[in-house]
Amino acid sequence: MSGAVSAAPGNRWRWALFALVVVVALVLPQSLAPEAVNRLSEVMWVAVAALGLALLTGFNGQISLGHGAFLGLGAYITMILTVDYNQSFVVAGLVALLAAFLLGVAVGLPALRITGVYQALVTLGLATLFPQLVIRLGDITGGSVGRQLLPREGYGDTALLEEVGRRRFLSQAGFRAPAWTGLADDQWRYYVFLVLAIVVFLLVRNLTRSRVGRGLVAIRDNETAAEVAGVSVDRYKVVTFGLSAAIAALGGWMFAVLNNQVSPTSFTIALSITLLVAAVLGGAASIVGPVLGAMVVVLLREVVPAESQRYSQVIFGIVLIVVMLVAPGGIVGIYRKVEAWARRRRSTGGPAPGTTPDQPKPTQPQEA
Amino acid sequence: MALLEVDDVGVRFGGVVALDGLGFAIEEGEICALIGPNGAGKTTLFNVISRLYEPSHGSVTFAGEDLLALAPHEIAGTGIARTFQNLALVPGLSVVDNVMIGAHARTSGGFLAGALGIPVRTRERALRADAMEVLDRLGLAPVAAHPAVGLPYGTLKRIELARALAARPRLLMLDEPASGLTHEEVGELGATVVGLRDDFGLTVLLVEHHMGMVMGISEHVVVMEFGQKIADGTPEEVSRDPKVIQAYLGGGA
Repeated sequence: MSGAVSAAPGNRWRWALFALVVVVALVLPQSLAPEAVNRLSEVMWVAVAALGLALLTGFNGQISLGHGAFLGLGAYITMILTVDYNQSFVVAGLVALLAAFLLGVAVGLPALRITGVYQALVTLGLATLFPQLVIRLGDITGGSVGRQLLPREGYGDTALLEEVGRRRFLSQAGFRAPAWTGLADDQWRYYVFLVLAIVVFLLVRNLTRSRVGRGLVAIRDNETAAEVAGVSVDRYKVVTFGLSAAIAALGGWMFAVLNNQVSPTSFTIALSITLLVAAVLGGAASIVGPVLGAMVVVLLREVVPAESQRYSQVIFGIVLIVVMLVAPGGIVGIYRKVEAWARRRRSTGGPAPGTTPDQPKPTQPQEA
Repeated sequence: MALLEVDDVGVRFGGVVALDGLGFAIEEGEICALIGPNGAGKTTLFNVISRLYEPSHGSVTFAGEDLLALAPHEIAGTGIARTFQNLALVPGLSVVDNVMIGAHARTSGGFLAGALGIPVRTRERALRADAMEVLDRLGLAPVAAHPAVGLPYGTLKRIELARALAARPRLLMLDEPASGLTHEEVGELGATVVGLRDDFGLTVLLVEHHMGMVMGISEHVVVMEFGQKIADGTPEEVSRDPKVIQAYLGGGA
């Protein structure tokens, strides 16, 4: 509902809040330690990937338990292209997006025939397969050790040293802040991530409020109705899967840039579950939800004592169950309920629900 | 030439014959009612025209175009819109957005345009204004912002009608629009359908059990039983037809 509503007071309030959040996000790294800045950068890659998943699951009703694999694909492509093929991070990112889009389309195609629990199983298979595949393709990926400073087997001494040196150099080089910015590396990374996250946020927001977005929700709620209205259901589903995968791969690019190393253990089923928790906890059928969810998921780890970290998956599992039972709409869902309740209270005794006939300013239910 | 021509259409579900060589034609601008006992195959025919069911044989031609050569989502683009016997609204969208969904086929804008947002804004505004106009006409403007759930049944049925109208169709197919409505609402609905036909130059194909409404508003009645056509003509003609009387009142009549 772009345009028509930009004058509505509720919307102006939202833009003000958005601007406030951006300003806080801009100022924040100036006064934080590098570890804290990196933690916020982590929130951002989780948020981006969760937004991609929300587009697929929350808006289009398709299930993916395998988004960690798309994220991993993005991260590996980024590392391999920058380290082994000396490509820039920009090129690596574009290749990662394209590759994940194509893989997403390939995974989305069978989803036209299978839905619900079967789609969950197929994507679960993808999540399980990815780390195994990475280990098998050790020549390219570095196998179970991942992309680190260790050389591969079979190198002579010189080659070994060169390899170590090359990797070390690149590892140190990584994603450095350009001199003109006067920023520390962690801050530079943070700002780049912030820009990317905002861009993704706005693109997904626009998309979900467009003609296509209505089609996606119609497919989710009533596929027959969508088809009869002329929505190309198959194409929408496949393209959405591809887009969602590409957005997750952007999260993977951010992961690689932030950590400057990748290994198969980072992209297991646990990551896919974490992304799903972030999306569902915040409210998957919204755009603010996944961002809030990502904050909770990343910061939850801060709160949980180190020795209990291995229980984090258990905690996520419990959180997921509780959310689905108590507030299936997530944090945003709770907010909407309160808002609707307040509106009802205000309009008690007034005209019919919603607005008055002469003032058609509809609010979109999927809005957050 | 007739606007819609259904010729020798057959549909089977396993061993059950749902439609058995059904054929009839509708002229542009008329209100045609499809009547018959439950299980006669009326909704099945709707679903064949919507391409939701694949017929085993026969042909369906709309304005000279072979509908059976099209994919289900392409039907709306030819100028056919419909409502459903059991509502098929999108509860996750507001009433006005549900109506805007109806205009999907006559509007454009893909993923890229949607994500970038800017170039579609004015169109989106015009589309919303169109949808509001349709809602207003059907007396639904007060609920435009309400989610398309939790409203009275009659209201939900009118929202579906509004969604079909938003497509600006040539042929409007209504599947039991009067079911579940109060006596007064049925009277209003009949007047609404005739008014819409007159104002928008629609052709209407109607499945309905409410005989008062059928006989009151339609110019053409097709009677079905067991997947076959047993009568076809004006309301007066079919109501005098012995086969129709037999089908409706049983052997003793």
